[in-house]
Amino acid sequence: MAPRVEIDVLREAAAAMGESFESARARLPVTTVDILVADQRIQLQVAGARLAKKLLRAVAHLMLAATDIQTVDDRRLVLHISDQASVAAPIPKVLLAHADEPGSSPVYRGGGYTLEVHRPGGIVSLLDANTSVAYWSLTDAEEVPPNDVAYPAQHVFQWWMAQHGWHLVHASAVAMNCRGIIATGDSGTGKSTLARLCLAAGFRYLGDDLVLVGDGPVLHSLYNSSRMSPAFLRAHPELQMESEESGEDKVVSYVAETEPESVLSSCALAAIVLPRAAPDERTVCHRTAPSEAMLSLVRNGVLHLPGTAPEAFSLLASVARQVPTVDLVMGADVATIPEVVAQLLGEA
Amino acid sequence: MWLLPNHPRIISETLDDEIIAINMRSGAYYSLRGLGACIWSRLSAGTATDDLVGELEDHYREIQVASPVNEFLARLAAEDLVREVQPDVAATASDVPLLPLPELFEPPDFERFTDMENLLLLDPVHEIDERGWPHRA
Repeated sequence: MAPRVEIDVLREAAAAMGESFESARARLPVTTVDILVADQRIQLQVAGARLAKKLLRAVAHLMLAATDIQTVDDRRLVLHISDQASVAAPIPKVLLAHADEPGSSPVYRGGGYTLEVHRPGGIVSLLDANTSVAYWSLTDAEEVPPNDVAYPAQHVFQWWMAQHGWHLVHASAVAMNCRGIIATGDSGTGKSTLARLCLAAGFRYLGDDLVLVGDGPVLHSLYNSSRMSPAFLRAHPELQMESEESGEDKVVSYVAETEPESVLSSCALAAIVLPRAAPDERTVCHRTAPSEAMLSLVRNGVLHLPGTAPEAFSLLASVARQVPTVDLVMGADVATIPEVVAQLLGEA
Repeated sequence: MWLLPNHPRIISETLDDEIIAINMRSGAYYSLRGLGACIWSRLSAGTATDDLVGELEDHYREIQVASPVNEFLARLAAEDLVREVQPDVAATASDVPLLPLPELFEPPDFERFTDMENLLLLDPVHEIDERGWPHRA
């Protein structure tokens, strides 16, 4: 029988996470940085120098200089990041209650709290909207899953930004002349490939896996990391950039480090692209129905990221009504793909 | 009989002449096009099922529409996409634009996608109110 969870449990979990982080603060150096995500100032406090160095690269392009902090609105969210192995962290009751449900990563929401216990791995994400405080607690700073290194605390960002009208979607995004496209689709459809090809062709880069979409419609970058298949990069050496192993047969690059002038924080959204890798065909794009965009966004922006579905659905439908949707067949003639996207942006 | 979209379990949006709907509990999502989308828009506006069939019979004069339409309505109900309500509740339905009926009759239908159902099973979202979760019986 499922254990009983009440709002008091979430409140206790938040208190426990706070105590855990303070315990970490007493033992480890805490790196504090402020980032600007759309119109939201978010302060990241990371316990442990190695963990900070590992995680903050992904959002380095959004960091505020000390002089900028003075001119930005008061701090909006404080996100505390730590790992349980470094401290004797008390485990919230709700975690113990689900110890026998392997494979389940439930999200609990109520009373201004949102809590996720991600299994396997035991990563805990908690947002306390009552106090604008959040926690992201990893299991072990030495064994952070590659996807969490490249795209840290994505669910906390998703929940907070959703409360302020922004929604995280699984998509890559590139732009030219301050007008951008998102390429949305299932894994393996070529989103990251499209982004890397366009980046190499001089486009501005907003992300290759997760980007924020807001009313306007507007795009905003969250992570500057780019994970690619080494096999693909060997076949296309012109697209290689400084990278390191990232597990799951991928390598990760941080575009803000390798090509800082190429990273773009935000721009207008001009079109939704549905890519399809087709190495035996020629590259071609054609307009399609907005419902096709919506079906992809349901999989990759509404249901795939937990806890914000109704709001995300409404916003993304509004976006799909406002901008064209195109099917992009990415053929063997990869060099033409950026040209096709550039033409699309010119016509959109 | 009056059938309304089964909010809040079901959320739906209209894009051009198509409807995308999601069952938030199961993770199944649906695409309705053509006459299926038109019927959904009329149900959403609070049209009684008898009036709906009557409108379609007037529009498709030579076609026996009642059977396929009633079968479609039964399928919507079986998927929990709609629920039966009393007329006073139907009268408060949203003022939604009615999609124009297609010129040619094709039996109404919808497409169902279940690829995200397992994800919701693995990543369920539990809303906790003053009753706690699971809700007390």
